Amino acid sequence: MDRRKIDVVLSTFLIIVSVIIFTNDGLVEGGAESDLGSMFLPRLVAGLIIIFAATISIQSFRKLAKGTQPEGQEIITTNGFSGVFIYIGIFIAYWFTVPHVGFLVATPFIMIAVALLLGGRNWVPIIATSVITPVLIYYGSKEFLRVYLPTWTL
Amino acid sequence: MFDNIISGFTSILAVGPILGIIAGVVIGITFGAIPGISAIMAIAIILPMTFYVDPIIGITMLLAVYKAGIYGGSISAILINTPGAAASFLTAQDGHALTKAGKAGKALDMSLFASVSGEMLATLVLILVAAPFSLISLQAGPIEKVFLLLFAFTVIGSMAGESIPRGLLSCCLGMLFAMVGMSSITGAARFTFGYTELMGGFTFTPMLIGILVMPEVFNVIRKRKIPHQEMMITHSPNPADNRISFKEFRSVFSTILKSSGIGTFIGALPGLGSSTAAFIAYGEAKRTSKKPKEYGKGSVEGIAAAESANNAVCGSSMIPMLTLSIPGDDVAALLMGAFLIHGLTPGPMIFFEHTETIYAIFAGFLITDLFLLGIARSGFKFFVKMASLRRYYIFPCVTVFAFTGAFTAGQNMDDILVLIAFTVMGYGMRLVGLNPAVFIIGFILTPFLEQNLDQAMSIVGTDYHLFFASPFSWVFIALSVFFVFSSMRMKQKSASAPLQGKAA
Amino acid sequence: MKNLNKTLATLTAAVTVTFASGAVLAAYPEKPINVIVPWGAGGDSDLTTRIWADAVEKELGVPVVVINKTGGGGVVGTSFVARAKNDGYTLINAGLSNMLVTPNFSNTPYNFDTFTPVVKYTSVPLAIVVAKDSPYKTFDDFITGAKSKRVTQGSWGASSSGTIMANIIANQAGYTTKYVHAKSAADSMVSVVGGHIDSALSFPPAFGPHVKADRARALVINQKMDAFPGVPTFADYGIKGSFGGWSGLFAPKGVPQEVIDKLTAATAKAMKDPKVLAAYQNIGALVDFRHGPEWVSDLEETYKIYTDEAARVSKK
Repeated sequence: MDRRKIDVVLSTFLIIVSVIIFTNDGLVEGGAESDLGSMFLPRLVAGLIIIFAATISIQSFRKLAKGTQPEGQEIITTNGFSGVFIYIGIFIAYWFTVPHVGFLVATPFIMIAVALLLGGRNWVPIIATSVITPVLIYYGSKEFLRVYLPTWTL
Repeated sequence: MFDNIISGFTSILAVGPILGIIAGVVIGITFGAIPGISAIMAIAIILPMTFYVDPIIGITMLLAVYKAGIYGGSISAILINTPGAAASFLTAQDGHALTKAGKAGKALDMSLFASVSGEMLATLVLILVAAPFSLISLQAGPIEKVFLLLFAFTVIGSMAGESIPRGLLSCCLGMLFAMVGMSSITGAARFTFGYTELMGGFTFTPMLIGILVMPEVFNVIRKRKIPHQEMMITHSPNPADNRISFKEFRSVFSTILKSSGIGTFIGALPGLGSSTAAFIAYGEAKRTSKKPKEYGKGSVEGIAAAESANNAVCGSSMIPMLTLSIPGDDVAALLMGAFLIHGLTPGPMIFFEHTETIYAIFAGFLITDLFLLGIARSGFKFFVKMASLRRYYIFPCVTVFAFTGAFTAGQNMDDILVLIAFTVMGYGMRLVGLNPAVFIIGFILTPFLEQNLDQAMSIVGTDYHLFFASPFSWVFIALSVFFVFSSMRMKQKSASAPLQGKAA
Repeated sequence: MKNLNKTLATLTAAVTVTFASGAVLAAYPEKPINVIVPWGAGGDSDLTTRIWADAVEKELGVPVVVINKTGGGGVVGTSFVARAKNDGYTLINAGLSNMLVTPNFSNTPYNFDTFTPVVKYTSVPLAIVVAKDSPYKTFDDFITGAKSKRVTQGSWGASSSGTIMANIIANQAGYTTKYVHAKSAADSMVSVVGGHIDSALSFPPAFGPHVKADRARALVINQKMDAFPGVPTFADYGIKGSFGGWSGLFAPKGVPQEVIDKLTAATAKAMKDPKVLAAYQNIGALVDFRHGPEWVSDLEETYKIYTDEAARVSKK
């Protein structure tokens, strides 16, 4: 993938967001008066974002217009991205199930899923670590951190 | 004063305090080294346990956890590229590059030596000149701090990024995200879109884990088809690649001294924090280095600069805490709580009212550094072995630790969503050449900037010339301009260098 | 088959009995109690609560876990507890700011009536402090000065408890100040001692060390303290009202009376422990153990003062 195209798209997006921050008064609610005001710094930062985003996109746009080939960091390789999406899916499933089935039940499945995704096929040690680690973390955080991880609530 | 230090040493060299220090160092290294879990949790939990033990034991133990925890973060940063703080991001860049080249031992040694030297130097400053040094913190009022912050922002933004606009854009994005939630100055809700959950802004820990730690998991997943043998931590057969010789240490010693100095100065100004110090020291080391091109690609000097500055902050952040009772960061606030509960009220009088205890604690700080050196050094083999395990054992664990770390911060499932969102964002930032660590620093420093800017405005009122009344302001404006100019020149040089190579 | 049915029936019965008896016999507390502190670890409210938690834990026999849920000026943690179950296992560290001031001055999803007060353990009196070399030797000097020229005063947020209390005071004495909002009272003290601002609103834990080191002077304080004997009170100047921070414990509305009684009894015992008293003295908090209807009605009265103040400010 050509990063210069992403630069142009992303910069345009950031500039639009910054313009909204600049002009919209509805983004801030309530509060008392102070010398600086609640929107001074956000607007200043929005202004700076417009400047830097514009610089980046103009540079990239000029190179694109010249038709030079992307080089070095300008090429983004996309192999293996499917795995990343699966991983994000696993993590969202983790977030979704923990409040219901609890940390101790959900975690082994998640660990096995991630191990599988990474190409692990040694079942016995994988299952063993996937069961032992959550138990250690659960009791460790209960006894030492006094954090009670979510438990079964169904 | 030397009598005091010696009597301090005699009271610290007893079974109780030494055991406390050893326990603290082990706990700190363990918590610091686990990606996603930080030492501050450990300190908050141990705090009540130290209420009723002797303050010499309790406080030295807490401090041992703190120091070892800050250091411990560099271990996982070097070995598996999961920095737990913005400061470790730099160590991860250089250290992990060395690990991939089979020089893990060298990187680990350098980071340990630099950390311990930085801490020792800052502790000596604390012991010898704490009171005069605290004047810096008193003299730096809101106006001076605004200029100091502007300086920090320009240095970090212009030095750290792939290019100056990208570095500064990363910083600005961090600043923008920091302003979500209720403003502590006006009480107004900004960018919350009506969600109460957003009133507190983005929870820092899950965001930090997402931006800095998790993208490495993505990297590993993308390379999951590459066989283990090619990804493994290799061990260079040349023993010189796996340690730091005295000669190497001597060659970076001036970098360590300078970086520790920067760290000590920044630590004395409450609020700036260790990541800022590490970045400024790294930038300065790179600027003056003979081999600036190695930075970010496995520079031993880079590790030395980042780690010594980072750890120097540890020691010197005690200065404003002890002498003026203002804590610079969360950890210093917790430690101040420990001092208070033991009846050692921090403030100008503490050195006179509790001379013996304070000097015993100081001696404990120095002893802690020695124990840290010994204990960490003997653990290296074990850490390398752990990190050489197959990916499908390590990264499921990293996933769970990240989850646990994000959850324990506020015990709130919403924070897991924050973690996921920022993981994606952190990875995306790397893809488009934005610097994630600069983003984090922008996020950390913004509330501080806004607070000081507001105070400065209230103080000067309509007499705007007062902004430039202090020499401090001028010095930092000049320094900022100088740094931007110098880094622009350096970037130009490095951009034209390959061409020259071709011509020759 | 018949046997299986019978076994199942017995099992069900056994389970039902266990559950039923559990519900009847379970005495509060049977599992860890979470106390949410809406402020950062290591701050005044956090320390007072940790000391309390550590002390009552022994009386109650279950862990009392202090959790810091910070952000939004205390609103995040407090509204979390407002939404929590009222079974007594989730409690909130209550104080002047999150219970009495913020609901009146900011847009919060809770107010005073969303909670049931349980106990108050400590309080800290408000004071006005100047640097040692300040021209204002007494509070009278200060009032005269602030009436005639621009005087800066350190506070911690435009709609924070500090500014609101200071406004009530200034309004009665007839002066105005220019507020300079720092992160905390301790930060303002550094600006006072460093000569960057003229005066600061402060509490004994923040100004104590500087006064003892003879770098700062307290002009006036909410109540007489042994540690600062020469400092007059607001009442001495004819200013009405009570100005100070406090730290206590609230539960979500509708919590069983049994829970309140248990917690109050445990706190009462803890407050007699000399170690606990020493710990509170060390952090500069005055032990002020209160509970029951009289305290609640006092709180309601104070709440009303802030509601009126909010109305007065918004009318302007």
